[in-house]
Amino acid sequence: MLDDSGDDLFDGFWPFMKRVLLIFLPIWVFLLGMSAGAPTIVSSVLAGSSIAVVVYIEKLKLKQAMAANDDAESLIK
Amino acid sequence: MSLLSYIGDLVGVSAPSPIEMIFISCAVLGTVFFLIMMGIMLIGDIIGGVVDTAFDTDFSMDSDLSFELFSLQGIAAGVMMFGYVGMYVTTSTDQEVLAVLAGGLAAAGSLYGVKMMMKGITGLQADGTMVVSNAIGQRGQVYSRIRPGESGEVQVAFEGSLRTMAARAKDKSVHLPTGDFIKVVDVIGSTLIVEELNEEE
Repeated sequence: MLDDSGDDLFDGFWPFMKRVLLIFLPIWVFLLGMSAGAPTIVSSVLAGSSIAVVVYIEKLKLKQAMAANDDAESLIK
Repeated sequence: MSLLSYIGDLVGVSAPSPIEMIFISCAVLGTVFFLIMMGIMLIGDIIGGVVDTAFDTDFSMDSDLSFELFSLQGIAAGVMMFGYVGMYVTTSTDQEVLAVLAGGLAAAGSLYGVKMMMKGITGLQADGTMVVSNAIGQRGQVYSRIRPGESGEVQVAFEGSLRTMAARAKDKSVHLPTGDFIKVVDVIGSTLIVEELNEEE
């Protein structure tokens, strides 16, 4: 089984956070859109797009973690 | 009368809007789920204790299962808070966008609280691995005599407990009889290297 490098993000809490965000963030965005009076199609598209934000945050944090790791390895001891 | 209308009447909301219906549903279902999860945790522990006593078995929730339960409790708490805060903001400001926003922030706050709680619980776990090098500098007593150039056993208190460890004298020509006081000066593998305790020490 392949290791998911994102498992260690946010003190190892990311897998749990990711699942919760993937389920509830689109629902929340959809409700925001609907309550703001936006058309259903716009709210739906915004809700679907919000998933991309979760994936983007994961990528960004992974890049930061890898950069920090590289810095630590290149340190002259 | 539908269930939601009945619940709406119960909490004092007549003819609730769809958003209000969602808030009420989240509040009621989240609370019910949260209470059930709490009940399962408490009853589970009680049942575990009864089974342990009655059948002399080891029936308990392992860390993975308790982690899952805490995660589900976090979600239940988040849904519950979303419903309560959303409903409160709707009734007080009559602005649904604000209510959804506040409900979402409350849910995120609940989840953050669970995260901090989990972090605290993880911090309580102690690493039980014995680090033998922590014995260096500690004083103890010879338990089984150490003949010249051979191993014996010493009792040394370190890491909060008294341990009996294999030991050798630093000076190979020295004989350390049982009961002599010693000091640990080095560690090779799991064998302590000791020397006799001086009068001054």
